[in-house]
Amino acid sequence: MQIKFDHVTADYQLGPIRSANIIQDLDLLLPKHSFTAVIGHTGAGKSSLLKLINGLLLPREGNVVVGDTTITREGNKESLKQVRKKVGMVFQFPEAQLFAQTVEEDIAYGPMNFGLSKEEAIKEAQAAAQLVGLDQDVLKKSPFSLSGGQQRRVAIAGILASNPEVLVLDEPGAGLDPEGKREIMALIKQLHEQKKITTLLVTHDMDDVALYAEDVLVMEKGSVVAHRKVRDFFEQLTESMDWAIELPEARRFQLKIEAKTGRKLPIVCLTIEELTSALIEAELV
Amino acid sequence: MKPTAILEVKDLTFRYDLRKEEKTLSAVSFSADPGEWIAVVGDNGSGKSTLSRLLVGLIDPEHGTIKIDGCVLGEQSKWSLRQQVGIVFQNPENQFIGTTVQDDVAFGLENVNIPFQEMKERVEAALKLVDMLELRDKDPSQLSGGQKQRVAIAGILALQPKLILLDEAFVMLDPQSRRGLFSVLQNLRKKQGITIISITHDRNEAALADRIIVMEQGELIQVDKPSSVFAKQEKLDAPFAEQLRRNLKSCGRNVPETYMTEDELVEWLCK
Repeated sequence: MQIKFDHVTADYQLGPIRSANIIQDLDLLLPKHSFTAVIGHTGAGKSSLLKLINGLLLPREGNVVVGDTTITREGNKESLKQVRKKVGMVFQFPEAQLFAQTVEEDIAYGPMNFGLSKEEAIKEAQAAAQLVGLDQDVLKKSPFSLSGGQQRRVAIAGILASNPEVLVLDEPGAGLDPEGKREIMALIKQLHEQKKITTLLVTHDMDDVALYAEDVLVMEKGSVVAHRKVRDFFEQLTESMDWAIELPEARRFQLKIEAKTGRKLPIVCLTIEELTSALIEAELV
Repeated sequence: MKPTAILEVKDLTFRYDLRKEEKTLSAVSFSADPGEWIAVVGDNGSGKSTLSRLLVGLIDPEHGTIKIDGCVLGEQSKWSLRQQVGIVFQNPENQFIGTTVQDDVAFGLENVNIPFQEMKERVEAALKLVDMLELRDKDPSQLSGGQKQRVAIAGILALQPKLILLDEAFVMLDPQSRRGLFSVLQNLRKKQGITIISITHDRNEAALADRIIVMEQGELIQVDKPSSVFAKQEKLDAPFAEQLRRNLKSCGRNVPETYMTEDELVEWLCK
């Protein structure tokens, strides 16, 4: 599902007080089936961008088009409902939203709210649980008896149970141990590939960007300052650029070696595997 | 002469459910010297956060003792000891209380009756350290995840504790602010001898600590300097350079057998 931002400006309003614009005259086109990583400083507007996509934050000017539904300043109730059904949103620390007695009920809550009967919703819940790799015997347990990594799976399953066509995730790996994080990220990649879900991922980890995303979107002060293919982006990224983006570790290490030996390795390395073979090919080991 | 330990943990054992045998923490002992940076690593569910909650007296151990600055942590002493120990939780949403950023940072100081003028100065200084002074009048609920995390850290810095516990307090920060705050804390440690215990999944951060505590299923399985820990704990995600060394080795290359820091490996590759 395609997502389009057309001159969008947005802020947060608290009573009569308006904050400064969080999103500033933003134009953006995310093609369907794309996997885009959103990066940028804290406070750059990354989370607000995600909220605009499912109508949790309404544009003050311009409009956001998700598939064939348009979200405007007025926030038409019917179109918001449409959008929220199509766009699944995984917040920061999504396990904080778990509330039900059992894992199954928690996952079924979304589809039931979208109008499915209890039986149908449970069916969707079971399918979603399987999709995220939760065992059948976990379904009847309390979500609060599970480990952090498992809880996050339950929360993500709760989103997937509504069969979204777009998935937006706000730092889904934060706070998980390295193994748990790898599993969650692999799961997201797999969903993207198998179900053709258009995916938008906010992250601070450039290795995640290099390993999982296809495109990268750099935000700064509420605007998009770059939107490119991941490899092109990191190949062209030099230290002179004014937005201070970290490099993936392999690339950073590569530049260190190249600076010291004065020799260029045969390829731009974004992963440890690429760096390992490049070092061997260059006969540095 | 060895300085007196700021923190001494002995035989610490804890169960959430007393009906079950399974212990969340069993017989954990270690100590920390003033000015030391200790990283605590281990999988989710290994007992790291439970340990941090015990250390500030939010929960009571089944047995074992915690001594902070020579004083045993208990029902009577925990109120005064908490002025010396600050904790920053992983999810800053869990600890906001004020309606503006500066009120929130001042909350802890109000609780310990700091005079107004001094409070003002400390709040300002703390917000400056975390680079949030500009947003002092904002409502914390309107901040981004990383900004909230910085406010939470400022709240602790303003209290000027001797011991700071960070429970993955950097996870929502971008790499640049992470490095910035890391060096702020390193400076405080050098200048004021603050001790830092940092629970983290970031292998590169752990590699920079003085010592690493490795937790596994509620037990402390090793406490040692990073090079020894990463050499011994093969299950632990190693820092990038060490992983690269292992990768090269498994490709049959003739690399050194022992743990290498990034600088050592770069040096070796460029020789």
